[in-house]
Amino acid sequence: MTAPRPGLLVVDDEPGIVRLIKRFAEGMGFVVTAAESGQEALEKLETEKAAAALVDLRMPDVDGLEVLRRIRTAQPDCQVILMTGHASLDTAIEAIKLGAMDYLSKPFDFDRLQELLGGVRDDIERRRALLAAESRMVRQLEFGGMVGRSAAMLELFDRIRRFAPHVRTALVTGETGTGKELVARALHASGPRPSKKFVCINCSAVVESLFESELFGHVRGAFTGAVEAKPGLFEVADGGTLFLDEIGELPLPAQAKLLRALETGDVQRVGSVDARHVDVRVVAATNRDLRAESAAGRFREDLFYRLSVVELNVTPLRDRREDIPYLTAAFVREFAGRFGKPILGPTPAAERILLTAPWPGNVRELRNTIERICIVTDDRLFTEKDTAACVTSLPPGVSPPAASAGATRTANSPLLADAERQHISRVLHGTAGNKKAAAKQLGVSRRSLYRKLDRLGLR
Amino acid sequence: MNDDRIFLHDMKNMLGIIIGFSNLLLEGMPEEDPHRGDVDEIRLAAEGAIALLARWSQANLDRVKGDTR
Repeated sequence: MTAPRPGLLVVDDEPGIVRLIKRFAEGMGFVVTAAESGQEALEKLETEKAAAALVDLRMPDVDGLEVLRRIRTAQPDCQVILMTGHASLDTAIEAIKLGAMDYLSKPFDFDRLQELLGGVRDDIERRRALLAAESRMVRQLEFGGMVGRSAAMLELFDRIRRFAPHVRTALVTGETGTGKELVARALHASGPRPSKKFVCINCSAVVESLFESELFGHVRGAFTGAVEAKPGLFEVADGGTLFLDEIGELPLPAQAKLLRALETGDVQRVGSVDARHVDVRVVAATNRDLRAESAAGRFREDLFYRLSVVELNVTPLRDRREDIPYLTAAFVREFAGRFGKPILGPTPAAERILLTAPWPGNVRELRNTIERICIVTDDRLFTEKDTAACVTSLPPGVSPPAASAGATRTANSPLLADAERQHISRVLHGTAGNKKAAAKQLGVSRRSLYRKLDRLGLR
Repeated sequence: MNDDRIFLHDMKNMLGIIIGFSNLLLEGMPEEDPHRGDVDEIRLAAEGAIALLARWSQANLDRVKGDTR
């Protein structure tokens, strides 16, 4: 696939100048869009994307500085070069302050123009090469679906490799969205029996009275509704791994039975007197401080110590920002492939937002954000504007772009789902990922919060 | 004065177009093309006109200054 040619917007009220620059720039590989007035340029900005713009300063209707200002908000990644017949120091300073790349005086020094446009073209080329290299690099940095080259992640991968052959129980800790389940899966996959089952249960999504039967099974007639005997997840996972997500939400009575199963390897179906022996590796995960929970009497201390023989902590994304370009590359490749779009990655300005956003929802939030961007963007390099519209929690100093009139439905349109997503993210951030507390604040049940999270793609 | 500036701006634009297209022509011409010299003349004349324009605008500026004194 050949790379598409970069766009150049030329704005001058003298048609001869426009034709001259068009001829010149096309020879350098640009696709040129011409506008013969400031007003026409503003209209073209709505639909045409440009890598660079050459704008005449003095035009009768909308002057060059105004066009420059509008380009800075509409297409912040576009490099603007102003042209003028009579150079004035004041306007030159004003133009540079507004973010113009350079200031050319007429008649043109064509060598200088060639240098500037060549620079724009080379920047794009370099960006493409860099993103392609990052995308290739991801394969080497990937471990069990996790991507990282930060010291924290390399140490985590190393610990997983070392513990996986021997570990019987492990506790994975980390904030919401850090990838605790991937750690559990990696422990399973790097362990002695990767072909056996990996069974997941989310402890906060199960009705309290059904826990025992979920984990240990029941015999026929054990309780109303138990019309048939059913094996528990421990039996299903026999020989493999049982992953207990959000273990902090497990009710106290179930904790006692879990501890017994861990210590003896025996499970008893509800309503049965016979114990069955199972060989299951148990990996539990939580975003709560279980040590504090057990000190407060909300979590059994003996179970905590039993689970935390091996404790693996997953670092929040904000503390391993150096991984963001590689994670971005991995997600862009995934979603660009899924949507069939030739997206390469972010422009430098877009990448700055991704690198500095707070990411309270961690890698999951980054992944969802990249997915939204890949849906919205139509370019090979997605822009600062696309990114600012899709990042739920922007870095300080970056404001979301205003929705333009007549725009099609995009992530920056005021959809109810977006408002809901943002509000839930904020509340979850406030409760440090504690869904029980978040559900209480939102006035919904924990289960309906889970359904919302699933529907809104926040999990 | 403002009218002079607009005249100067537009004039420079026109001459810039003549020089620019002359350059494009020259770039596309082989070294031995017999028309190269002709195009060179066009470009040289336009460059001469720009120099004249600069002298004229300086003289104009001096005259305006003299008047105000």
